[in-house]
Amino acid sequence: MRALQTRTGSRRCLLVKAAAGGLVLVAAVPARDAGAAPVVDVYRPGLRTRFAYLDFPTVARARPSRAARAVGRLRLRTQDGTDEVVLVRALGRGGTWLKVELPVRPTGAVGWIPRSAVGELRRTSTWLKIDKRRLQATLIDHGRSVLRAPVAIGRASSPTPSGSFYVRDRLVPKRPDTMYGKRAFGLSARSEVLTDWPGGGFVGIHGTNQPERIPGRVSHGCIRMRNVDILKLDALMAVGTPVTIR
Amino acid sequence: MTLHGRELGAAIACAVALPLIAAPAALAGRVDYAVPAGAGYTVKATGHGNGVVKVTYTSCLTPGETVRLPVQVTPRGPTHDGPIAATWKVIKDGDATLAFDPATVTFDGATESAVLAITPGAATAKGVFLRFKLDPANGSGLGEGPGVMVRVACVVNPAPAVREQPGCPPAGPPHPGQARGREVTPAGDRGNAKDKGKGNDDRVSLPDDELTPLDCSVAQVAPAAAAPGPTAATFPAVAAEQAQGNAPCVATPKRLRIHRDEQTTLRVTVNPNGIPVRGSFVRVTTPDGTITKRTDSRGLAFFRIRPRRGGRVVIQADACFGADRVGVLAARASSRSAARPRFTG
Repeated sequence: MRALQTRTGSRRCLLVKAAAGGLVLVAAVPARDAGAAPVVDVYRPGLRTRFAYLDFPTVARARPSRAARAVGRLRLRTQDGTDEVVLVRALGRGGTWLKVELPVRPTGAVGWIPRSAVGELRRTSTWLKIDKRRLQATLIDHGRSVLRAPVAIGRASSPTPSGSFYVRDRLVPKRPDTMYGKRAFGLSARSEVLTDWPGGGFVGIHGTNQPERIPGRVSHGCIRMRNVDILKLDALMAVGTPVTIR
Repeated sequence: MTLHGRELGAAIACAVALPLIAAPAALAGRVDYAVPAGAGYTVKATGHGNGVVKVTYTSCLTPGETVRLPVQVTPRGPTHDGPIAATWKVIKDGDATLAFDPATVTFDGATESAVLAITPGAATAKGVFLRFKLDPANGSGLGEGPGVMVRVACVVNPAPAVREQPGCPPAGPPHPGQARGREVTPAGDRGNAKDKGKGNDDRVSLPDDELTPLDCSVAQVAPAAAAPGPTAATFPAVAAEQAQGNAPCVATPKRLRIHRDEQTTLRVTVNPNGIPVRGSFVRVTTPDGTITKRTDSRGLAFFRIRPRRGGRVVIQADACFGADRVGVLAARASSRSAARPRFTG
């Protein structure tokens, strides 16, 4: 009799546990849905992408939460003294967090930063594509190709990194007869080989004083263009433009 | 007969407990207060209806303008037979004249209604705070209860009269949502279109030389006299003494950076004495001009500004004196002349 009672009791206990478990499941599913706020993708290279200048130094996180793991730190200035820019890939948590591309290693890293850390979200409709196989650069604006030019990329020992990046700054070298030519654009990409290069081994797009070596695989990782082409690019492309190297 | 210690203790306990047990339940009686919902104020009953009733006026009042607050009082619990008279007891902080109608409430078992007339005195950003309750006659067996708390965030002088322009038809009374001052709606500011219909009016003032003499669409306001307190829709000059110091009733984001040539959204809250105020005028003066808006029901006004020049952005509200100032930072520098770019090359 006692054994029967015990069995009945344990069955009742099981039922209670099952019911409680079901309740927990029912409660957990909406909670999980509520916690996973929708992420709005705003990255449409060549049509409309958004970028922003940093207002405050901030830490990029793996998820849109201050408790999430840090994946990079952003400062207010680039290594060349210009204001730091981030390219926005997506909006999260009702637009209070931004998924941005980071100018940190590993190259092509992305992270989440609070919306309050940046200023106005600006738009750009340009997109620069670098084809490492064809050694060709193509600038797209509003979905149309507006410039095509030959380029030189990194040699085998210091290859140009592949991935999605963006233009961080625009520099005008004081002496156009140097290896940087008449214009230089800093990218968020960093060389995986030249890690101890001054400034952190950032890769750029710039002119040249050796136009005869373009196209080719001759650089330390930067993308070189003829001066006439880099000036055309300067007229068409602004800071914040996404750059895809493949 | 002598009582030993234990017997003496029991006798004392009985002597104390018996009258309490035999006392009428009227000792638990008290007055309950209720304020019906109405326009211009919010009502919050704390403690599940057993606590104080908080009445908060959602906009600034005007000196001399009487507002009437209906109050319902109910005796709860058994009371003595017959009517019980109770008079009003008031604790007040601020300049206001109060009048209760009726001055004495006579309870006859049912709910009684009364009206409190509040007439603010001088204009002040300190507002008016008062708490009142009924004080039933002694021995009636009816307690006071928690009473009613009334909070008036601010008292501002009425807006100055609109001055008629020669050659223009006489101006009617100002629209409730209309900003005063020499202001016109900007033609090209599309950034605030989202705020339309939320109580946000959007106007930019024009310099004197841009006003045409027969432009009857532009309201002309008589110069405000030196008012001792804050005045509706009137702001002291940015350099005036009254605009010195921070505006205590204005809250702006703590981390706010305004750059030249960059659009910045200013979220301004007008909350004098911690109470968000609806319909208060907020003026933002940028190096390019001024924008005036009214706050919404949450006491918020949003401004989208894009300063084209350096200088200061000054934020003022008509509910209080003082002004918040934010410097305009330099435009973003994404391009520079570099001796040698620091790329891998």
